[in-house]
Amino acid sequence: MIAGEDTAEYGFRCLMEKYQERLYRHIRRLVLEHEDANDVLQNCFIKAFRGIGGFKQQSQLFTWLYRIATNESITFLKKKRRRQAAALDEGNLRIAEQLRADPYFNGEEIQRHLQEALHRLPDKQRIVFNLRYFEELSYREMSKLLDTSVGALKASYHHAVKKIECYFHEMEIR
Amino acid sequence: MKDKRTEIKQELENTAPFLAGLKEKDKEGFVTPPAYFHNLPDRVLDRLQQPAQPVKQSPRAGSTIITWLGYLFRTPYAVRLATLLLLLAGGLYLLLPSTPSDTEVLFGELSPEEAGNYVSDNLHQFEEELVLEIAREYPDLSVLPAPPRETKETDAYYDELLEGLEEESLKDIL
Repeated sequence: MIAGEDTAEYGFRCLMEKYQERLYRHIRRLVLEHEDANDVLQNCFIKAFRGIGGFKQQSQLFTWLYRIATNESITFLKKKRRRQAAALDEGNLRIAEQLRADPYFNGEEIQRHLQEALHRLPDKQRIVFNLRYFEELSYREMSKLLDTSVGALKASYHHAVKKIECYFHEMEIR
Repeated sequence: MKDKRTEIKQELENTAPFLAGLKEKDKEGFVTPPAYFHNLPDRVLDRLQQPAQPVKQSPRAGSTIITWLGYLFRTPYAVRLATLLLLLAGGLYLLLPSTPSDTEVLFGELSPEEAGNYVSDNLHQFEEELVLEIAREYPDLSVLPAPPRETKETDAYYDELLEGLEEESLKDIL
């Protein structure tokens, strides 16, 4: 439907409606702020629309969209970190404090701390943790999405879990 | 087959009991503005219909270099950079072979005899005091002039010599 000239817009609207919430949550967990997640999600859909011709149906459409979203998020984060490092302003602001001021975050203190702990992890470990802990994917599904072996994913998840648990222990949050 | 959620929870209980308990709450805290997902497809399609944005000019090389220099010379990085440079300089000093002096180069491959010959051939180029000092220290070196005798002996020798000389001859010499 997306490939057809007359039906492309309708087909793409259907695709967005189907996957937007799931992709938004995935992106939001990585970039944290709603405005950033909104920008990244829109860019992700625009890239998908323009690149749909290159989509090979060897993988599912969601897997393909998910990869675009992950790459866009990581690129966005790298740029943001560089800007923060050069500007010396928000960079030092702790995630927990940032979330306290965010009108689109209504979690409790413990959720803020969880995000703080998550943002201390390397990007890859954070993505693996999010997929397993929040999205409850099996290692096999994650392996397809991330193009990584099940063993490596289990190791990444284990390291991430230990680090987060350690953070809570250090903060004496029980 | 076990329910995915139960499997993830059991997996966590073994390694991170606190995280396992937190997962029970099933809350993340991320919210979106009202009707965000309802309007999103329209916003994306609007952007797709707009003419392509002109390519964003990349920042000039000069400003990029200044940004990076500013980044490098922030106190913690500057200290690390200086330490690294010092270590490198020290390492190079220790690793590189020391340059031999001109004298070492000149005499490094000479035998004692050759060295002695050279000295006797070029005696006029050496300072008198140095030659005398060496002669006292190494009396066996034949190339050097004999050291002066004790003062009394010398005086007696010259007295005898003077006595043997005719007055006329002495006047001629003087």
